[in-house]
Amino acid sequence: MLRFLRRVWVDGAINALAVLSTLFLAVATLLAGQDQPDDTYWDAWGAPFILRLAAVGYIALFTFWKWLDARLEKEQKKRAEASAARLEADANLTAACQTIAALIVGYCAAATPPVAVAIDELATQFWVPRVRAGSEVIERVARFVLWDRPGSGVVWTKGKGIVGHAWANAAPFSLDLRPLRAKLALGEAAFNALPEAERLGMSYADVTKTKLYTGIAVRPLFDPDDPTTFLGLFVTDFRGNTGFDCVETAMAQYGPIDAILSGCQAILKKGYGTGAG
Amino acid sequence: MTEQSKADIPEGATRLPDLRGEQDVDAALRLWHSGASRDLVAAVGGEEALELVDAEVEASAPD
Repeated sequence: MLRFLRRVWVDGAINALAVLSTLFLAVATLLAGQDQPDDTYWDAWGAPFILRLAAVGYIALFTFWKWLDARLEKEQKKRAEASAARLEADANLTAACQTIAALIVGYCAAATPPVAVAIDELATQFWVPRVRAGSEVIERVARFVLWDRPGSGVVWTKGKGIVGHAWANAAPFSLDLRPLRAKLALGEAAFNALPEAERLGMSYADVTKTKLYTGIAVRPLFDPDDPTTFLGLFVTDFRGNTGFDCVETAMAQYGPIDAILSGCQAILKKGYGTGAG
Repeated sequence: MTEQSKADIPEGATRLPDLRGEQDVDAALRLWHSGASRDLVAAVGGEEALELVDAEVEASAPD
């Protein structure tokens, strides 16, 4: 309350001073033009002259401050709107992650023969490109995972790792990671000497940090108004020993998952835009 | 062939098809029950899904 009153008083004083300065300037200009009260009264550098100068300076500063204030307010409003849109998008994307994980489990349970995929063997996520310290990276923005999944700590850039590769190529694919992981047995130097494409741009250390998963299926998402503009990725990680074939079939063929991902494209665009940022 | 389907995939990976963009009412209702907004429900299941959601909300509203 005190702060509010103080703000009202300070704001009121600043605005009142601007009105007084304008009035004073108007009257002073009128009087100076008519040499009133005498022809030297407004000459430099007497007190009336300095007061006129101060009024001009104050009005200039006041105008600039008002412009800055309006601009800051506009920016703040814009940021608040973007933040609200992002929160709404995150809630929707999290709901989509949860629903898709349940759909995969249901799809595999209904397969012939049934495939047991437990929901805690899945991690479903949305990733979007962002700019961090001037560099483009891709980051997870929503996920559904029912176990305490530690972060890898690896920064995924375009072309690096599965998500980086999917981002660079905007390609939908699934990959069983076991053959790549088996190559860690070569040792650090020999692994890092493998062609970049063979190790998906990852180093021995990167692969070691990400060895929680058996396989990953990735679907790129595009602007629904312009299917050539990349928005982000939907990624399903699987950590079970058996059943990845069924997970990738669900990701490839199951209509409800397709429908949800198609619908999420508009949500992703609204919440995160169409460019890294 | 779209720009998307021309893209490369890593060695040893299986290509998945591009999204078909078909609507699915059941999937939309599942999303609704997971806490998704009407916007997403409409995008996934169309008008029919929204009508079902409205009917469900009305049926569960206190008299």
